[in-house]
Amino acid sequence: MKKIFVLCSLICFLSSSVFAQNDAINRYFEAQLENEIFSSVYVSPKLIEIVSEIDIQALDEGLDDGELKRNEAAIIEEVLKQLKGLMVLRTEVEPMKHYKEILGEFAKQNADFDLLLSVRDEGNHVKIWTETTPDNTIQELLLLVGGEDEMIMLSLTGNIDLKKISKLAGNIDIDGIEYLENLDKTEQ
Amino acid sequence: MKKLLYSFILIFCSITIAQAGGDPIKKFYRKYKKKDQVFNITLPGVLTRTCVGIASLFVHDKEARAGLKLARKAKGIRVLVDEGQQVSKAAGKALIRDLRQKGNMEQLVAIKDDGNYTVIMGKINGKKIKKIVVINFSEDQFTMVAIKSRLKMKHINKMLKALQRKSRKEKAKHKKKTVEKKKEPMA
Repeated sequence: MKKIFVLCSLICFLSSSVFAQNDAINRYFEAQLENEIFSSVYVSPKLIEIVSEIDIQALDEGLDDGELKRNEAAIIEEVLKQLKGLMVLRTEVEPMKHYKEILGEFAKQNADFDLLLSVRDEGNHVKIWTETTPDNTIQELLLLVGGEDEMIMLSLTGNIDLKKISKLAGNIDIDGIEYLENLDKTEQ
Repeated sequence: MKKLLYSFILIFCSITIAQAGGDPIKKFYRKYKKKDQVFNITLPGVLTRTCVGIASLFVHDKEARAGLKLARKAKGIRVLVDEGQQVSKAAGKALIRDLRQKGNMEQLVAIKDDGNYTVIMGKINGKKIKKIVVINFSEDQFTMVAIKSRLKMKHINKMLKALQRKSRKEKAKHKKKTVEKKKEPMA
């Protein structure tokens, strides 16, 4: 009986530690929503589900000049069907201070996140982490950029295909997403 | 018999009042609509459908008619714009909380940028968009737009297809003109 009790407690503790990692980022994001110096974007899984039902090719040709090629529209539709959520946090006030703060928050937890990319480019520090399931599906991608001008934190959740995300990144105008454009080369 | 009738009337009135009181949008709208520098408009579904019906008599363009068909799906629209700072940030946030808790709505998008805060809440039943509420706060203005609808994604896609067909026709015409100009003999 004691063994079962200890085993159950261990399982609860471990699962709460795993969830706590995502919670740490979510908590930080929610805490900064009230902070005037941050800009934020939150897109819920429900909205992504709705948007994934839209005919992207028709949207592009109907509302714009039809810049998307057919295969690009198909890729975007595929990616949207797999995405579960998007969060972006950005500030131009003391960006390196907030960059280090988030790094600190992230490092505190014993994470299942793996560092995919760490680049220093023209004064910008770029880090990308991914959380994968046992079958190697990426279920969360976290991008952190810190530089002299701005700090950006971007979190994508869902079943993420790096190659397709990097193609999508070129067609979306969201702060920080341009850093994902070369991800497919990194995976190789 | 009289007692039974009065009881029914009382129960009916209580239910109606409870439902009206329970709708956070109606409650909020009623609270602020008559305040100074607050602009408000309510378009009941009947009026929207009637106007669309009349407009469709005069509109023959296929794509415009597709847009009108989409507009017919709106069951009612309420707009509230406050330029007199009557609606505080706290009141706006309380509205969002009430929409979530009492109105069974979920937050679809939240964007905060440069003092502007926009939230879109939605009540989606399967593939049907039953209600959309857009709330925007800025330094000097508060806006709420609430739309009840019977919209489905297939309706939006139908309209997009109609726009796509129009766009392709226009491109084909433009291409034909360009080719014809090139064929004209040089002066």
